[in-house]
Amino acid sequence: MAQRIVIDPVTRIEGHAKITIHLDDEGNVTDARFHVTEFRGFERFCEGRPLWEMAAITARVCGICPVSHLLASAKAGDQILAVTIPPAAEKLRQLMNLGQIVQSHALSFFHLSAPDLLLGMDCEPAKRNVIGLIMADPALARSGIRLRQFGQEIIQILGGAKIHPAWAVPGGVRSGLSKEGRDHILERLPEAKTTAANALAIFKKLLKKYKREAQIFGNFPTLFMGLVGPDGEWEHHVGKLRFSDASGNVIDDQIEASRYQEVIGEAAESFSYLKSPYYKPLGYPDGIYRVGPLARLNVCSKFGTPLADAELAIFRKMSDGAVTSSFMYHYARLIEIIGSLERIEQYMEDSDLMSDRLRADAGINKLEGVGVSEAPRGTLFHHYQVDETGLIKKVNLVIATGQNNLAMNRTVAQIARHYIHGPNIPEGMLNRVEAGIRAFDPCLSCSTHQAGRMPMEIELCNAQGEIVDRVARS
Amino acid sequence: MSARAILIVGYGNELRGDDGLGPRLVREIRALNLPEVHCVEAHQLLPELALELAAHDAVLFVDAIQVDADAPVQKIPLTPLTPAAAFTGPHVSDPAGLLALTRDLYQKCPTAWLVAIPGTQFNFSDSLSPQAETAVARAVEAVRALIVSFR
Repeated sequence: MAQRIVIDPVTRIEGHAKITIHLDDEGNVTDARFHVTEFRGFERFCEGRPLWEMAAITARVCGICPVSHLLASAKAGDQILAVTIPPAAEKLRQLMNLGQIVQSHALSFFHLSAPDLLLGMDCEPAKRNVIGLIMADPALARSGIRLRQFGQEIIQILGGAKIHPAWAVPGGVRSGLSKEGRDHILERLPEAKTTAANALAIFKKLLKKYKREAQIFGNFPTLFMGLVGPDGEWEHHVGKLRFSDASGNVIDDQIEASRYQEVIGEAAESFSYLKSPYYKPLGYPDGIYRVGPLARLNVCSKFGTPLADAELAIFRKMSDGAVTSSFMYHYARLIEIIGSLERIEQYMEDSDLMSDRLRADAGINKLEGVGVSEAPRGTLFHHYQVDETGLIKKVNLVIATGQNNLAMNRTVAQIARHYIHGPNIPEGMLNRVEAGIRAFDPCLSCSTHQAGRMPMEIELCNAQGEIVDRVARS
Repeated sequence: MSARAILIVGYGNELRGDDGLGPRLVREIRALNLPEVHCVEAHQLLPELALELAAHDAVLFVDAIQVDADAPVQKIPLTPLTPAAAFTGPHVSDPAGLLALTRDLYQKCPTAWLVAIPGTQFNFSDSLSPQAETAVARAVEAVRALIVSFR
């Protein structure tokens, strides 16, 4: 009897999703899909609002990555004002984004992925969570909390609030870095660097244990996309777009953010509210590409800081071309934490950050603007059209997690085919399917632009589509 | 930090109508400048709040609850989750999970309550419904009563 097995919701990712696995009569996986069950409407909600409100509004898409939206929104506003923001403001925005990358990646590793990686994917569910991690290694768990706190503190020192800081605005930022803030960051940096290095060392030791997962967790050729600097160096807030392929070849480079619609199309599928972006020249779905830490390390020519570049060299030895296994998002995330901390340290030597020249004042000079920034999860686009008075006419948000949608679907199918045979499914196998999704660290609330609470339901359907069993949780 | 320090954590999305009751209530309490009362506004409960919980003797979580408009403000005593039902991630965290995280990370668990304020409108809106506005004053009194009872 053919069966459909549903994992709903996927635990320990941001937002809500459902995974459906279809079996044939022999119990082999015929198909697997990753559904996003949230429906959001931020893009419509923003129509008619003043441009000046957009940063504060879009920052409330999600409580996990508000800074990413804030910064991309401000950049779109810069375009509409047609200004070049002061150098100090540019650097301060970058500093905030680096804090955001540190705190988000720390959350992803220590709270969302570490229970699987460190306790083992076959560990009983009652222990395979962050409390189990605390009991197994309390020092590691505490250090992870403090690393995340450090990233949050950078955001708070600059913006005055850990979440939704109303600090980046079209034209610049509202305030600079105080001496006390700088001293606090310098004081906390050594511990943060030690924690990051320790976490990376632990992960590299675990790689042998997860050789199989590394081979089948979303390991297939795709394109990769990210921001790079003029010499191809790793970028997170400025720079231009680069696409490279699975062999490591750059296939499209130095694309201005404003031209994103020339190279990125967005398809809709009936089974999910998450759009499926693709690289237009190759069409849908052949133009599948990935964004985020793995993509950023694959597209860049170098990181640009010594410790991160040393780790990048080791990372790249895993493959002759690009590193294609999505399992290696975990590895890439940890390298990015290290590189971000190095860049933060460099900024502490830059007296520009305490300048009071922080804003370019202007009115509405263009009726359209695109702001792009690398959110921790990947490239984020804010595209606004306004009227002559600066009221929003149209908004398009291309979210990092959405750009990984095609890859996440293919990952689910790959893992399911490898591990699931027949109707009796051990918990550990189901968790590997979920873990494959978690490697992408998806933020589904952002991707569908709305917070919501969905009831949890698991349905088992026969070959005729009749529900033969159902479990519901409130 | 002196003894009997109290933390008030108000959380919710202020662009989802009455879901903003938590942060709104915290701002009302902050304006009262009560001694040894510290206030945090949050979009949602996140793991690093455990650090702040561990530094206080009591914590009041303030959140909206979707019920009839004339329902009372509820004051619910909280206990931390057992390890088996523990904190599993930020978007599904709740006060009991955060208390469990605090207990297990720092071997300390403050006395805790949930102050649940009735809300009726949770669609896209940057303001509270009229019913929620009237509930704010009742919620302030409920929080003040809890602070007094703890002292």
